[in-house]
Amino acid sequence: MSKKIIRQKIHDSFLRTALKNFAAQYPVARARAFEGDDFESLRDRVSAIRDNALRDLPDLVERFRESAEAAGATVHLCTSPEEARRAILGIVREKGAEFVVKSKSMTSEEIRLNPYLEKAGVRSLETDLGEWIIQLAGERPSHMVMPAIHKNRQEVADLFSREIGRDCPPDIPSLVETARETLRESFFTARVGISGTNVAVADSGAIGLVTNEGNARLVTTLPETHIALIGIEKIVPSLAEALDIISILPKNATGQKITSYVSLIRGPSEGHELHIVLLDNGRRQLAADPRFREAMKCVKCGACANVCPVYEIVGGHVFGHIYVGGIGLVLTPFFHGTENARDILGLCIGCRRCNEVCAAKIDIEGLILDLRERGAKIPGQKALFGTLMRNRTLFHGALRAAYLAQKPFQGRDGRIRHLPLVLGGDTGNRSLPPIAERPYRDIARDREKVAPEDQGGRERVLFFSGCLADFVFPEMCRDTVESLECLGYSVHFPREQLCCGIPARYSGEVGIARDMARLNTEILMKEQADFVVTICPTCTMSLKHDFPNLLEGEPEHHARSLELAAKVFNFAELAARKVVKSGIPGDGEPVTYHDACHLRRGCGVFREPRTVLEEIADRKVVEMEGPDTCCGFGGSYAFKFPEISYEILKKKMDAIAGTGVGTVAVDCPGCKMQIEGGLEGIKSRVRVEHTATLAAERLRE
Amino acid sequence: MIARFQAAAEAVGAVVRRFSSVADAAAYVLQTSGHAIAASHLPDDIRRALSGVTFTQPEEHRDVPACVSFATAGVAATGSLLLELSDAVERGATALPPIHMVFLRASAIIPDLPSLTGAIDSLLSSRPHSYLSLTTGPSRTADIERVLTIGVHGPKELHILILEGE
Ligand code: SF4
Ligand code: SF4
Repeated sequence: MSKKIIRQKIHDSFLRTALKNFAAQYPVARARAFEGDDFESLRDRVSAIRDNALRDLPDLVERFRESAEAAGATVHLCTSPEEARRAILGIVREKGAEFVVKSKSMTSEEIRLNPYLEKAGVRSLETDLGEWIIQLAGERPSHMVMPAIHKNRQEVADLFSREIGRDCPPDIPSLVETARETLRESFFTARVGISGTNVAVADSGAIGLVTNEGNARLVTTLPETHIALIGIEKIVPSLAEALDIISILPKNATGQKITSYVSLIRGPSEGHELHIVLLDNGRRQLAADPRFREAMKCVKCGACANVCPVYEIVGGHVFGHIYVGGIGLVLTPFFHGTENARDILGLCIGCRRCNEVCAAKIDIEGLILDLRERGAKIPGQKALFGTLMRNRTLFHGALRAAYLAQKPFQGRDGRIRHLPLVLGGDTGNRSLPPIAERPYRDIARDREKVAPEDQGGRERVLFFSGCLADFVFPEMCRDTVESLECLGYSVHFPREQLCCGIPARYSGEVGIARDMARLNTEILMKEQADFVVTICPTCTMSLKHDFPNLLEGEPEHHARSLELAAKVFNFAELAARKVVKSGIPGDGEPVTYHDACHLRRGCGVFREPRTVLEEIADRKVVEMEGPDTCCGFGGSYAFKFPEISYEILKKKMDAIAGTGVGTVAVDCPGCKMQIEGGLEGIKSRVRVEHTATLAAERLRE
Repeated sequence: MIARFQAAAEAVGAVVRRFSSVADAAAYVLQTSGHAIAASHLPDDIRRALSGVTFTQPEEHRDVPACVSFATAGVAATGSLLLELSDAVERGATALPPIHMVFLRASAIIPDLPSLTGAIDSLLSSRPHSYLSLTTGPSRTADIERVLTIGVHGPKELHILILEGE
């Protein structure tokens, strides 16, 4: 993705405000729409419905075709976009139509229908207000549900004025009225209407359209021929499943309990024709892929874009291709080729918010990661990840060299404002902490020499620090060990431990990640221990989930990795185990808490850190706005897309400032590095500390 | 349940009126729309009560100010109406005019969408072809700057006339 386009979007102040306002309103509206529903069980149902349907896809297609034809529809089964376009043009020609009206259809965007029809001399008019605006502007939708969210009223007024040849004031109700009046005639003159479809029912042959404006009802009523374009994955066995999808869709899309119109159409009306164009375009093949079939469960609600912090900064023209948002990143390589996908796959910061809201419970973030693994690799990175990371001494040595190399870049306070060498690039307005003179592994060696571990019947914990804490925040490691000891554990730091492998995996180097998984499992399982504690949630996810996945093909190691996974906990979880709840909130200096993405959504841990802060650190917790929105770090993301990263960070810093407190607690060294760097850049005095540090401060007293 | 239906429908911008007789409801129709209106299929008792109304021809549907129709069911949870509009002309009648008035018998209100599954299924399959419209509030859009605006391509007003006590 070109830096120039990203920068342009970041500085598009209307786009930014529109997306920001929407991001603020959406969760509220969504929560209200789901009131009284159990979202998790609803989406479990939707996920199962889709899963089963995908398994029976060829059969469902056949059944749907039979019942639709029995009801009088003509069904066209099309393998490729080209075939679908030709089928549609054929029908239009047969009706002698030179002009068609359309209601919204993402599938028609997928097959680029409009340009094709235009080239064949058929004018195709979009009648959905947002789609019409986009068509007049000659652009493509920037959101699956709200195609013109990037256009402001002045731009719309200019487009309308140009189109109808009279001055349209930039007043929204009057612009809407103009659309009504201008487009009305076309429904009567068009002989063919083309619509999309949200769901298709195999047993009755009915199709369902979920809309708000009422144009789809006109498109499917006034012209005597109706063409409905359907991706085959939209077929479900019966009405009950269709209604489940229809009921989750608007709630998740726009926070409406239901849209103004849900139309269920079975067969053509008297004197009319109904043509159903069923599009495959790789869907059958994708549905047969054990890993990526999941992507086909998507119901196109757009929620994954609505909550995505990166989408909020750059919008859908950058974050996606035809399909936008998290799922857009996943679908693009399948529908529109790796060429279009390569640039955009890197844009995901890995915060997993999309997973949390997905109507079909798709592991969107996991799919994006896996696609990166399958995709193009960045040359040169192999040396860094491979040789260096697998070999502890070399890695250690390289970091030592980096420690020395960074010296000239350090400011008077020791922080770094411009990054040297390997890490190079634009870090935006953040400063970075330096690599420590002595990593924790060296401190641990000395410490365990002076004070040998006293087990004395205590539960034994192995400490897996993660690279960032080890090499950049050794004091965070010390605070972890001391807190756990004060709380009654005995703690040991196995010095052979290696990087958890996540940076390699995020860069598509699976082989290396697998080696790290195997080596680390051996190292950590060699010793007797009750628990393994981590202070970086990304490491936790790696140890708990990625290791077993990566080692699936190696039965012996896989079994060991599962045993290991069962022992891995975050610092806050282990600390909270020892808390005897007083229920009295701490009365110490107030703190606010930032939930790390991988802790909150990756591990489902968010209560424990707050308990530790209140009950152990004796602090009062003041919640900020959106405590669980991403801070913009995302590992190497902050260096790859510094501007996007910084924009996300700014929002976080505003939320922190809004609480008025002097300390932010985090449970992730990456969040600490990011937020601390940002706050330092704006000369804020707010401290950023790991929960372990705040706990240790109090426990030492 | 009627109250729940009313609250849900009003929350999405519908006008809800409750009547104890068809005659009162018919008077409301006349007063709201003037005399010439488009109509979809109506049960006999309602059609009789609307004897003061001139029903327009299909060609005139695009210019009439209002239409009346009849809902097979109402959904309390969402304030939705289930309309059976398999005839394209009748469907056009409910889609084009700026005001849409719908008669709904109180006894036809059911709690939620899932409890309507059976009814929808049998309506869908009881005739050679069918077109059902689940309508909730007036036509709306938020496509310009996310500002909610009522009445883009469909009716700008939806009046629900609940017939009680029959
Ligand atoms: S993981 Fe986060 S950044 Fe990536 S697509 Fe999902 S919401 Fe967007
Ligand atoms: S991936 Fe999930 S959240 Fe995104 S559009 Fe599809 S169903 Fe909705």
